[in-house]
Amino acid sequence: MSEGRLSKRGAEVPEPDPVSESQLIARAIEGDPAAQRALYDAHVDRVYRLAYRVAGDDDLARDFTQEAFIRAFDRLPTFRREASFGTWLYTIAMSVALNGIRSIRRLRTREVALDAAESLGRRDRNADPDLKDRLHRAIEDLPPGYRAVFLMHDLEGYTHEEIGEVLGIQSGTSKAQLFRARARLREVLADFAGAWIA
Amino acid sequence: MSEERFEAWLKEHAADYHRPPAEVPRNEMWDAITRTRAARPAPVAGHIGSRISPVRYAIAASLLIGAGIGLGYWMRGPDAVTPAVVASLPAATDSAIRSATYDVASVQHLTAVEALLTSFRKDERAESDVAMRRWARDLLASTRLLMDSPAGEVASRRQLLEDLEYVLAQIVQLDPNAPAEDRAMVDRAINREQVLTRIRSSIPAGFPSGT
Repeated sequence: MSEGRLSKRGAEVPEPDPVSESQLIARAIEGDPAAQRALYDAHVDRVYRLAYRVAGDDDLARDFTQEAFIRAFDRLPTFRREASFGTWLYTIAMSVALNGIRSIRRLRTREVALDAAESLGRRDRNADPDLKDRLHRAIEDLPPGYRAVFLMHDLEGYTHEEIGEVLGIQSGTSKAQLFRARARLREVLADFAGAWIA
Repeated sequence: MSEERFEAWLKEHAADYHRPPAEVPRNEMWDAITRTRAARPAPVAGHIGSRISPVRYAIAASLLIGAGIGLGYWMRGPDAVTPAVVASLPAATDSAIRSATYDVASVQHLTAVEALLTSFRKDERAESDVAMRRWARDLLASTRLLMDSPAGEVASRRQLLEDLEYVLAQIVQLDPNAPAEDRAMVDRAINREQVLTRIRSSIPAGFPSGT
């Protein structure tokens, strides 16, 4: 994953220099707390942003972020440098967040069944007060794979190549997932079509 | 044109979805990370083993060993040569016997995990996921027991067991209706950590393979 190309995420934190990051990793493996903290500082904003986008809750985002770094530091000796440290870390973070939120969702009872287009009927096209709520619930109800790609690409600005590396899929699959996610959202929000056609 | 408008509209309106706060609680999270890492003897928090007595370890290890040895005899037949690690038991001290016992349990367990992971990678049918998850759940429990037993005190083995715990937990959590990408993520985790290679190199010659 080539880092430093993205404008939306982590703009306030400069991208780590690959050489110094490699040295930091070596020192972190030896247990140097300053090196571990430096790696953490370089990547925590992006990890937290991703975790928050998935979880939508500060406590959960913190838990997922912490768990991701704990796992990453524990496994640092096995990091093989085939990908960048960032990609490796974001892969762990997304896995922790997606698995975590899946477990939590399984435990929660859905308060509202979303069958939006059929059950809510036609609405005034331009001024529906619950557009935002409907959109958010429609995103929430996307299949996990679609949702992950949508969040990473459209909301966090990752490229399809980066998404492919982090999620372990082909970049073409990422594009297809995004296309399907948008199509599904468009279908579910069909009665708001006036908002984007006008 | 309509498609482009929709995409622009969607990006604009979806930006608020789970929008992260501007301020990332860096220091609080770092404090929690260092506290967690310093406090636990094991790198992975929340193991069921932390609440299990040594007697239960012994019972679990005995069951594992009994099942393993029985399975081994059944698979190899009565005329097979006894593996070297078992043959060394009678001459060993109490401590060595205990250590060898856990070695056998670990190897037997790794053999079973190898069989599961190989089946998982070969079989992409969603309908087999239910059985696969049940199998993975049993092995996940055994993995955690071993991690919290003396078998987990060997650093290299502990690292492998932790990686197995991670992969098995992912398989357990796989939704039967999940898209192929979810399986691909697990597969990628298996590849990234070189799990199968490390398992195979941990199984001494003479033990029946899990595949």
